[in-house]
Amino acid sequence: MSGSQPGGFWDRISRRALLGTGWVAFLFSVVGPALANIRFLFPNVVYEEPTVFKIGTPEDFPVGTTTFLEDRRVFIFHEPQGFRAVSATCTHLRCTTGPFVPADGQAKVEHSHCPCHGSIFDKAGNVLQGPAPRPLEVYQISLGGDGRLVVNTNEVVPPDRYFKA
Amino acid sequence: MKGSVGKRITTWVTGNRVWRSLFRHDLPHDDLGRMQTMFTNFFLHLVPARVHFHSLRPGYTLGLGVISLFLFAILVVTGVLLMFFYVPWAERAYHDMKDLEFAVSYGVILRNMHRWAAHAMVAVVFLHMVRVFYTGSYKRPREFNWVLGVLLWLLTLGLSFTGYLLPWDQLAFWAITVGTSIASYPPWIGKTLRVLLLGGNTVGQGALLRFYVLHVVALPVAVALLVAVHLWRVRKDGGLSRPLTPALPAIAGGVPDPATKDATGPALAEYEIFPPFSQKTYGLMELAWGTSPVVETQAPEEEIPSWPHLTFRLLVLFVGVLAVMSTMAYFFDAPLEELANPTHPPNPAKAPWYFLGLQELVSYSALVGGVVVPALLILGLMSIPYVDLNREGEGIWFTSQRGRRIALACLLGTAPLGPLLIYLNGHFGARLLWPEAPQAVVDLLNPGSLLLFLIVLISLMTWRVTGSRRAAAIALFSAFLSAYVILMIIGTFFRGPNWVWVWPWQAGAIY
Amino acid sequence: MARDPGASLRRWTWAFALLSLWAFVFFVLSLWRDYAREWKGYQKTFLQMELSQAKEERERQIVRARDYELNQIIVAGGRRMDRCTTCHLGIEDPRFNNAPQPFRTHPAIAKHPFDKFGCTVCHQGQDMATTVKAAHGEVGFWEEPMLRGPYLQATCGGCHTGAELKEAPLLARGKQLYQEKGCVACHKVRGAGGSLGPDLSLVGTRRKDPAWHLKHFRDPQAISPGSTMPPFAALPEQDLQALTVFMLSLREAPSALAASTPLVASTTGGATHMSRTAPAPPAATGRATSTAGAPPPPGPGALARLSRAKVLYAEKSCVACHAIGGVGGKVGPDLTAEGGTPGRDLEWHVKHFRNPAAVVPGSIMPPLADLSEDDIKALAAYMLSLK
Repeated sequence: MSGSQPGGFWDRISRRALLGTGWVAFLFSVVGPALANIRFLFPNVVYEEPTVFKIGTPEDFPVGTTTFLEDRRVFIFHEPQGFRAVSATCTHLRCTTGPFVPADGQAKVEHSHCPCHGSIFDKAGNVLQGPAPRPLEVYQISLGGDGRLVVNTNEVVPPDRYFKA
Repeated sequence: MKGSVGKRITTWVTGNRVWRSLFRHDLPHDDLGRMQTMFTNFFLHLVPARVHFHSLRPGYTLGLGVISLFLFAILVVTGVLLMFFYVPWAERAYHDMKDLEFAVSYGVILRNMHRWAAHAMVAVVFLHMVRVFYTGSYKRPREFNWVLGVLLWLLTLGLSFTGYLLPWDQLAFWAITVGTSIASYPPWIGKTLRVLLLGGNTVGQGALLRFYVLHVVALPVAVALLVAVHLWRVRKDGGLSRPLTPALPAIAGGVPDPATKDATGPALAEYEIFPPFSQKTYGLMELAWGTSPVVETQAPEEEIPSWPHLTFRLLVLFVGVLAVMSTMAYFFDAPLEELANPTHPPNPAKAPWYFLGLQELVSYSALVGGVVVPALLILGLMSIPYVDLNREGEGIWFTSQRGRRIALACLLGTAPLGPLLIYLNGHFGARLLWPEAPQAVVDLLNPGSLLLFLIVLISLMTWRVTGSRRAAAIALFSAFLSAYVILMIIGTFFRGPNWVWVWPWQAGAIY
Repeated sequence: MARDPGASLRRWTWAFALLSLWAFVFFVLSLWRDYAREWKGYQKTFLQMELSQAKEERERQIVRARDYELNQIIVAGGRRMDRCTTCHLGIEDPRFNNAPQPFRTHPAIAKHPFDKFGCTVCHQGQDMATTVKAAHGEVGFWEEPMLRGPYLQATCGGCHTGAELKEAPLLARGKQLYQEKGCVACHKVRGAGGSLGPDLSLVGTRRKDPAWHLKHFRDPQAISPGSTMPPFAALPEQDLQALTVFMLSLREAPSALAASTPLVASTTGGATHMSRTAPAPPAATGRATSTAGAPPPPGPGALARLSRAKVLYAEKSCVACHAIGGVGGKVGPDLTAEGGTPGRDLEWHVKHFRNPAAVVPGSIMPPLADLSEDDIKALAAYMLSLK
């Protein structure tokens, strides 16, 4: 690679072109891996509770019941219109809100109290009191191929959506 | 049209206050500017403002020190990233390696990069030491810098060794078992050293945690510290070593010395040379040589601005290292064997490649291989600058024609000695001829000690014949280098199960 | 720097351009290598199959909106991370009954939901891998290849240690052959057997490759030089497979609680039950149903003593010399109908066990000296029950 032969290929390309190519390629070779390294830091698998899980057959949740699956942090309501899976994660700062208990003085109505900062939710997930900024999320619930109900916490559905098994 | 838009953007960006507070000087256009750029920038002022043209010759240094530094930088970056996905817990470490391979984006590439850069750094640091020795760059006032270099070499080996255990597979586990056992051979301190390293008596969770802490914190900090002192010393010693007469004397006006002619470097005239001033006008930053800042007006200007000559070459070297490492990381996958199984040693169980020479020696005599040779090696290396007192031939590869011949003769001549002694030992070894021989006899008469003896003999003979300590040092170093490499090759390719001699093409030898 | 530089600088400039390009090219190549993963191809194919199966537009929208992602089932608190479902996407979807692998529906196994058990507990393989070859364990340095064909029955026996499973006939045959061929004379399994050869209680954990076992049965010396085990190459292929299945089944249960039932099948019948007393893997809590609970423990009294006797019978290697129902050695008399032999009551058997040569002159049967009174009586009762 001798640059001393006059008029050779090596001499014809201008210094500007060489430096330009070099700098552009260099910047890409440095910025590129830097971006790739940032992508590297985002995990593709997490060792946490699965976000899609099966909870049992429809028969396990009789009509009119409220089941609090504490480990999954989700309430399963089976109302006459169908099933609803409501998140038990308080929308304020992510504490797990409490089970549904009868509200003061109103035996028929049940509320969930979040122990951390006092938010109160009704069965529809609405915020009745407290610092929570949004209602509890309602998750997609469907029937799996093996006849068990599947809750998908990645899919949030409108609060009036019921699933008929 | 395009040009003017680009120009307007550039002017706006480089003209505003934020930019100007960051970059307080424009790109330089004159000598003064070039000086300023070097010593007003935190990172650039690591490097001198002006550098001797001889130091830039690729054939002189081969850039090995700089390449080691760049490899270290790559290792730190990839290492820190890998730390986000690795837990030094014996029940999880292997699992994390598998995750890096299968589930982490870019995980394979980063791990490969880290592993090959590590091996490359061990090799390059060693080659750098070889270069510094052969150019006599350890002589006064650079003795202590040489010692620092030897320490840095040992730290590099330590970094590689501690990192080797972390995958917690069979390769890692048994290499460290073997390595720490070799470390336990020195009398009095050996067993203590091993317990300290392992945090116990066997390789287990204690070892994994300690090796991890050493590998990610203690040793890198030590290396960073010593590298800082090492580079500082280079500056204070007046820059890189160089011959006292310039290689191309046409500018210097001196008489060419055929003994020092080196055809691989560029002529001084090929650099941009600026008309010599009768007085230097740049600010005084340091006094590298002499006792006063006044410079002789007739002396040739041998130094050239670091910007851009040195800095550009550093940049290109960095890109080169990046390119080579990326290629290796792409084509070759770092090994991962089965999960470490303490009850199931592989046969043979081999130390990492840079310790295989030692392991070969240890297979004859624990004393010689584990204690004597390493101790002599380290002490011997460190003492070279204090023994070789003359200043002849500093800055010139092999010092002289004679030096070149001695080096070549010793490199080539010592090479077959190792295999020859091993062959003889296999047929006429002390234990073979005299089965009840006491250990002391075996320690005296084995390939390792005999090789050591021969190398020292060669060196002493050279001293006798030439009367030059430098020549003797060249002989000693070259012979040692040759023996070390040959023993390493034997340990890697020619030793199979039960450490018997195999030919490399027979299965089981190559790791 | 606008001036034409010397040749050296020119060389370096060329080096800069070329090396930068080289570094850039390999960066792009490594990006591609990381992006173009094998499993994405399979997911793409599956999504297309789902699209063609979708009946409504809303379903199609859901399918199209899906991202490429790794799926994993974490089994037994993290012991296994099965990523098989990254490609095996149709295992729980009955619409894919006739689809080609890897998309085909997996037959449902009662009480073995996939999201609790994962896949590799039964199928073996490399749980964490995401490429076909690696996941199927068909790569170097992974000693647990995926089980195919008849060998799949082995893992059932890893948990269901004591019982006969109608789904695993080869396993039962393997157990039977193990007795017939006198293996128990030299090898211990769960405390029962001889000490000449290695203990096989966990051989299925140490050696998970069927090929190894087949090789070993055919020629033990080739695998373990110096072994005194006779070769079994003469056995028909089916029998060797059965024995291999049995060997593979002798392993740690996934939750690392070793089975506690003895080797010999209990007389309570062939009900398929988990013979561990530990709880089943965790199910969803709350009022959701859990998987099957632990089986009832064996009752006290006669049944227990009979079981104990059978344990002792195996432990003391009686089968090495005596046959019951065609199973066992031919050195001593056949005991199939021992209970009906006239003149031999409980007392006779007790005396015989304590000192065979005194009761039967010329007998080479070793005395069972170290057994307690209860154990001897249990064995004697067992003898009497053999009719």
